[in-house]
Amino acid sequence: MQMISSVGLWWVAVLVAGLPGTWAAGSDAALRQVRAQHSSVELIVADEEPDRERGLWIGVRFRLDPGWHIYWKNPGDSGLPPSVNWQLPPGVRAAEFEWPAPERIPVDPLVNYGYSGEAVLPVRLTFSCEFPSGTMKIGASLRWLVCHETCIPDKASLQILLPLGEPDRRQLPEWRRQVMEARNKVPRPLPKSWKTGAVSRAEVFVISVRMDRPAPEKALFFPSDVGQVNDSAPQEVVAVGRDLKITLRKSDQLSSEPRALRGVLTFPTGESYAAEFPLRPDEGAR
Amino acid sequence: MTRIGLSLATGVATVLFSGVAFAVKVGEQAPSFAAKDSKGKEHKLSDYSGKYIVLEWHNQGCPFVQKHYDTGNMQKLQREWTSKGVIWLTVISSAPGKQGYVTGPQADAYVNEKKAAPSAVLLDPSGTMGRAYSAKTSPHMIVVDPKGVVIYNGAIDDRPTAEKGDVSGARNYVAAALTEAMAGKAVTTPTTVPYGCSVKY
Repeated sequence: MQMISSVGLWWVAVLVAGLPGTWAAGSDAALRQVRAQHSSVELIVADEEPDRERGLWIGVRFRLDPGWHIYWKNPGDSGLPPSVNWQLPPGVRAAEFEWPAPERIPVDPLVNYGYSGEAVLPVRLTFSCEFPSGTMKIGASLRWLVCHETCIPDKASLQILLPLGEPDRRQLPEWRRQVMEARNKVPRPLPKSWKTGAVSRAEVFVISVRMDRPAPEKALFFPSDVGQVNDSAPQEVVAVGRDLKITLRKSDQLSSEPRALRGVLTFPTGESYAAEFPLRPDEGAR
Repeated sequence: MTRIGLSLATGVATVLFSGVAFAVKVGEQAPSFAAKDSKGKEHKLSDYSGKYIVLEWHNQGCPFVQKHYDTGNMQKLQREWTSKGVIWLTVISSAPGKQGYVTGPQADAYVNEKKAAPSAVLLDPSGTMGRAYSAKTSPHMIVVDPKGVVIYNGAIDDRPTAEKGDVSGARNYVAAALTEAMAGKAVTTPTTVPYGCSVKY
């Protein structure tokens, strides 16, 4: 497979940006985005002014060629999640990526958890002291793995300057919409009135949740931790009244019984919930 | 109510899951296999009874594999352990037309070019052996002891990246498992999550 380094592409992008009229948005745009092999990555901001309470929301936006995907925080059977090192002014801190609920991506016979099409990973910046005066430079050294049938590890150093230049400012409403949309896809905490549990059998875990309404016929569980659940095994969902039960085959890589399974439940309605399922011994086995 | 729901769920699951994948669990007997190598010679698990075996899933187009071959890390491991009597089998489960698929002569040319030193390169284009071992990634490493029992199943080391700079300083799980097992000790880390490209079945 031919591999072109993204560092090379990055310099091409910078050189092209120097030519008048090539980039409509001017040189700022060239710093904040990179077109790599089968993916484009761009830093976007949801707010231009930091807020003492909310901080400042930004996003790393991936646009992926059809058929290509990147990975969730638990990539599943193979793959790697994107990672970042931030370069921030003094007093500014970046939280971890927020992870929108992923898709189940079959790569026969394996299954990955990730994103295709367009994905924004929102990040909240917080300010521990006075807001920086003048121009604030937010830099991100990103690494990501993009796969179809083949995989390409890539990296880029991007930066965005605040306040935004005039061409970028026109994109702010659209960026804000995209970051908000991604934040809305981040799993909510499970409602407190819903009760969770799990049992461990020889080959399977059965997780259960008693909801405050009829349980949906379909649901998917995405384990937060690697190596607990067999990612490629089908998940058997049973809904009885308000009770939802999902049977998950144990991973070959399970080295010791966990105390709880943590992960994300998604429903066909688009709802997603982050939940913990404490394990109790199988009553039937006693 | 709860109990009925639970037993129903597991009952269905048992049917569904049987035959989906063979488990390769540490402490259990390794699945038997029979595969032809790059020179057309057949290798079976039973051929190596009494010896340690390392199985290394390979795909020469995968950046995670290139990390270990371009730095000479994999070749060094192969030389070190085969010199101690270990049978090192590089397994290629890529299907024809998929990344990493090679013919016998192409596999031999790669071994020559990379100065690799496996005991043999097994060609598994049907994916039979890969599926029997639930091989997920390249590289995915499995170590079998002289009694045919799996003693290690997982990643090559503790740095799940494609960065060549991460080879030095990494904790190599395969070397650690072999060192401990040969010294008569229990393997400290017998199971990890393999990283890399998906096997191209």
